[in-house]
Amino acid sequence: MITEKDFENAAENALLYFNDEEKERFMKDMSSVIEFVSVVKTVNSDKPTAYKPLTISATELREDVIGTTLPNEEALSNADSSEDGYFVIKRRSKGE
Amino acid sequence: MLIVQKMVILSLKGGVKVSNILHLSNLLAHKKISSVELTKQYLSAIRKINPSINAYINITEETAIAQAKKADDLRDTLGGNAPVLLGIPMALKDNLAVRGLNTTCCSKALENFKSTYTATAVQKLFDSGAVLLGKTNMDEFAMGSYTNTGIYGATFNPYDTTKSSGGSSGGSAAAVASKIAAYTLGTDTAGSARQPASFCGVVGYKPTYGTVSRYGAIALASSFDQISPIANSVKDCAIIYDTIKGFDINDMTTIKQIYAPCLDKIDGNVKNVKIGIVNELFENCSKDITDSLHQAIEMYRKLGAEIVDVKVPHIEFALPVYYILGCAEISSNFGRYDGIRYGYKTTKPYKDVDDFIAKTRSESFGDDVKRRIMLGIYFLSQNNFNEYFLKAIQLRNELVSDFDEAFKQCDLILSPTTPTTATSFDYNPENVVDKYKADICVVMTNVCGLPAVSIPCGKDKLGLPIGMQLMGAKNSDCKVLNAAFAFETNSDLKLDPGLGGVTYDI
Repeated sequence: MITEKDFENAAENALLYFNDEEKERFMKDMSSVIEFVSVVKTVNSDKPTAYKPLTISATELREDVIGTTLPNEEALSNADSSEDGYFVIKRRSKGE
Repeated sequence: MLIVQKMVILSLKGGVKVSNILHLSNLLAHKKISSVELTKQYLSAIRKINPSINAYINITEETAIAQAKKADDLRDTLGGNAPVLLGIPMALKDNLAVRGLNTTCCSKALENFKSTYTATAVQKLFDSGAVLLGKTNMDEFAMGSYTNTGIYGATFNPYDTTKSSGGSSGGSAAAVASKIAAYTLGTDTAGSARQPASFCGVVGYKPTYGTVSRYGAIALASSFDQISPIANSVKDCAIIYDTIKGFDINDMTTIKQIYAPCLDKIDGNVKNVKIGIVNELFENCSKDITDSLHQAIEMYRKLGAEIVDVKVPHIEFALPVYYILGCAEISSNFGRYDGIRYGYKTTKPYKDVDDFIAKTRSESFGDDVKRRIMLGIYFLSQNNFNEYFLKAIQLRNELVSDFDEAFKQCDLILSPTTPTTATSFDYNPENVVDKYKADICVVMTNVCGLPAVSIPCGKDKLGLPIGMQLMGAKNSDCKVLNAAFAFETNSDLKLDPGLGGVTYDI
């Protein structure tokens, strides 16, 4: 069962808002899932807690080679607003 | 990799109508029809059939005709060296990027999003001459098993429009089943290509993780996601797989390996092949499904395969592991949807950036997406990380070891694809987990990165298709497809929803 505090913490981190009706419904559904998966807590395993990679190349890094990149205009083409080649967002800092 | 026309070997029985790649390719090669004519037939069939099943959400007629014209010209130049896929009309699930076209994932969040590049697997199809008919319906961001959570409404099962097409690649499977696409690409994160293929009576094939680039497939849960062909025959899936597989510098989880074509290795010989049965995967199946599977097992026995019981000791943990790790990956991947760089943005007043993003996300995501993001954050939180997330990783490694052991005792594992045939849309259990439990047979291969195919193996009392799944060890894709072909070519099963799609007499 997810607590109201845990739900609110998750919602804050997820950047999601829920009204009271949604909150009740989501808490119920999430509690069902959490109860279902809680079986994993009962298992003792000596397997690594680092994920065994499914492929070998996943652990390799690419060479630093300058390649073709998306043109600036195209990179901005799906943005609602842009200016001087940059995305426009509301200022995050509290000053000014 | 270009699979050329000279490799085509027809192995179809006479007197039937088909719509598979090999046959269409032969018709094109012998100039019985041009790609433009074939494409127009498909577009006409889409206009007629799609309103009743809602498989397509975007029909790219102009692109299709232009690509078909180009294919016809190229065929004149290449002659007998033309790729098998040259000029064959197909469709793509709407989470696969095509430069200049909308890629919406059937979500309000990406309703007007235009891709700025093309997915590697799709580009490989285009390089082989594929003709894009359109984009197909899906659950929102591929989260769901019924293709009914997206903004374009549900896709209806071609065999019974009161039933679900399955999901999340339901539009792709329904389009192939209805013969309004010769083949499609779907994606499979926890059975999302195989389960709808089973519901719609077509072949859905999830390759070994890392053999097909995910670049340009909009991420759900990155260590589980796999682009997956859906087609009307096993050999069609092999042709598509042979075309799209291979290392990609843009997806560092792809395997650096040169692959021989699977199509060459498919001869239907399963003599002495050991087929494993995991009894737990037959639990909770309907009688029709169990009976069909037992008949399939008997056929394999008659073809010379050996049937053995195998154990997967941690099998009960596969679904919990998927839901913990899958949701964790979703919560991380979906941080990108902020409404600033692309996608839906709120029109309501906001007080700061966080308020803007939260309003944008809250208005644009559906319930399934929100629930999985929330669960992922819960499992990754400081208080739960050790006992959920790390335990799930350990159990994922246990399951990988279990299958390593199982595949020392057998070559393949046979199971139902789903415990039921296509379900009604009003199937809405009180507990959300009951819906998830239907994925038990398909989820393991995604947890462990294994190849698996779903092929039709029968019909239930209502005439709805039944799917059989064959799983193999990592990189045993050709073996999996060969065993599937052995069943397909020896089975008398005939499936056709009778909607009047594009078919040709043999």
